[in-house]
Amino acid sequence: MELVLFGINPQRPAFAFLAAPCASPEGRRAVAQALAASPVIGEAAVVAAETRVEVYCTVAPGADSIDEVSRVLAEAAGAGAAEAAANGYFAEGADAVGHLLAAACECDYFALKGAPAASCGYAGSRGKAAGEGTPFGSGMPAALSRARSEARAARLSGEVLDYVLARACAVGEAALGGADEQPEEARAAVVRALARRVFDHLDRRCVLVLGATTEAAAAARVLAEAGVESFAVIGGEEAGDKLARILGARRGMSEALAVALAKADIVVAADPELSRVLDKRALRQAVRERRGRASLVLDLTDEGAVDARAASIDEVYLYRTEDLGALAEAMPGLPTRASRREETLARETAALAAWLAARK
Amino acid sequence: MVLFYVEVLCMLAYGGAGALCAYVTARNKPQLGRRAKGLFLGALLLHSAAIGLTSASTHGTLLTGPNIVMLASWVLAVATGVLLVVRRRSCAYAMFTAPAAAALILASLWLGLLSDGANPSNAVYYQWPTLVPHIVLVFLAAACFMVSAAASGLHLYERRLMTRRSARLFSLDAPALDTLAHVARAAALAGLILLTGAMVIGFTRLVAMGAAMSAMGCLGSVSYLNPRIALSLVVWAVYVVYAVLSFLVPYAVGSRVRAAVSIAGFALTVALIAVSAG
Repeated sequence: MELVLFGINPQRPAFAFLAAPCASPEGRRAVAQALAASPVIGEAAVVAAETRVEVYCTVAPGADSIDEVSRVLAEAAGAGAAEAAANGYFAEGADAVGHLLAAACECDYFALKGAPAASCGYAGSRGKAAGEGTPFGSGMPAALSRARSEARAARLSGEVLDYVLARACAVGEAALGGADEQPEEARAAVVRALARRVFDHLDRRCVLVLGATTEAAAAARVLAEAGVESFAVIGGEEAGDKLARILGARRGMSEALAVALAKADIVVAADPELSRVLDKRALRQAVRERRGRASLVLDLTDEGAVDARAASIDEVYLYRTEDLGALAEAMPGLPTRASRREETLARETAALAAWLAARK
Repeated sequence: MVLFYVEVLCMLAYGGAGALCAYVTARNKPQLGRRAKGLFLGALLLHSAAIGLTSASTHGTLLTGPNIVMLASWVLAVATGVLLVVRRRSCAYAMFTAPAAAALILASLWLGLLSDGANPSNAVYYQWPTLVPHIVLVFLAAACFMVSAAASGLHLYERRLMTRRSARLFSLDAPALDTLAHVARAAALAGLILLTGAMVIGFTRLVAMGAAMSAMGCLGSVSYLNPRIALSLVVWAVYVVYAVLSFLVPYAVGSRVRAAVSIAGFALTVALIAVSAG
């Protein structure tokens, strides 16, 4: 069996009319049952999202499925088969899998283009304005999950379509839920580049690490690799002791924070309690004792514990976690969120296409 | 005519080198850095040739209006050439100094056209042999101030990118902020010392001239020197303030104020050279 997809193009004015029967669960079930009744179609599921209606089905290899699917959709809407075919798009095999996964991640052509005007009447076709009390839930993963459960409930999906939809749903949820976040190396590259942008050579610089979280340890490790030889660690209790041993750092008491701050060229602030001490006054005093030399302060606490007003001091360059994240996205040479998503999609598509090929 | 073409070619080469240096710096293209440096050093050779040709045609290097500006641009180019050879990421400095050298050559040509028909001579040199070190010290000081101002301008730009969290920072092939601050301070201090030396020579001459005129009872006037002296004192005072703010009390004001003082000092230096040449 081969996976095929038929969708109604939301860019076309006929979308609202042709998609209207799929706005309700009953309408979708009726369409799916009509498809499954066809001799060339095995399994069928109707995916209806706010601005998208797509039919996924398995067909016998070599069968002319496009005419069959467009005929069923046209009949449901009371239109001619030619009209449905003229306003639709079609893919099969690996192309259908690729489209499904891209749609699940909301990064296919229609998702990136935004909601077209042609689709507005579709959601409102049951007497509701578009976007208001929409019957489609939120996003493609929800639509895929609903399509899967509806097809299962109506016994219209088998092993193939059930697995494909479940996999697409999982990939979409992972992508949209932020599972494609920046790898640690990207932030490390930003930390290294920022330190070099402020100090050029790092070998004679001193780094003060406040706290011993994973992020602080990663930043300290990057700076050590970039040439920093002098470290001081304050806070972090046992983890701090361990980090100090790994870095060959001086272990300081929190009472000595002011002195350590005056010596530090780079401050990695990861302990919220200790980082709150780094207010504008304390940093101004440190700049005074450092005789006007610059300081790079990396605030890696979740809540941004370092006083934001400190950034107004000319010699203090304050970067928070979200700043580092934004810079990692824009830094030349590092993979962007879009490229990481593309890579994930290509990998998942190849895996799913291989699984389908093995089922033939 | 050959001299004119050499000077025009030299200006174009400086302009091209400045543009190439700006491209290397802004687009982070270090592989083009060598070509930019080569073009700048080629322009410096042409510049030296132009000065040599002028000196040959006038039987000695004239220390008068247009030639003063030409020599000032040459000293600036030599200082930049040294920076290009000894420092990393130095195209960022040449991005400012190369167009400045070209502009000074253009000014020299313009002044030469304005004073066409005059018969310049080095008579004053024979009366005052320390004129040469005086002028050389002023030119060297101006070149140092230019480098300091270029570093300060870059410092301001990079700082702005840092505070705006701009990713453009990473595509910039310019020295680090700390290096720029160090270069700006050191160049300004060197320039201040050289300018002080030049001023000591100048004031010694002024006092000696005044004493000689009084002894001979002649009523000579040196009032034409007043704008030059006043501007020299202002430039000197600005750089003394800069040096105090940079070395003695660096925490008194922020780096932005220091950079602004350095740039203002250089603007006054340009005015001083214009007044001296005019």
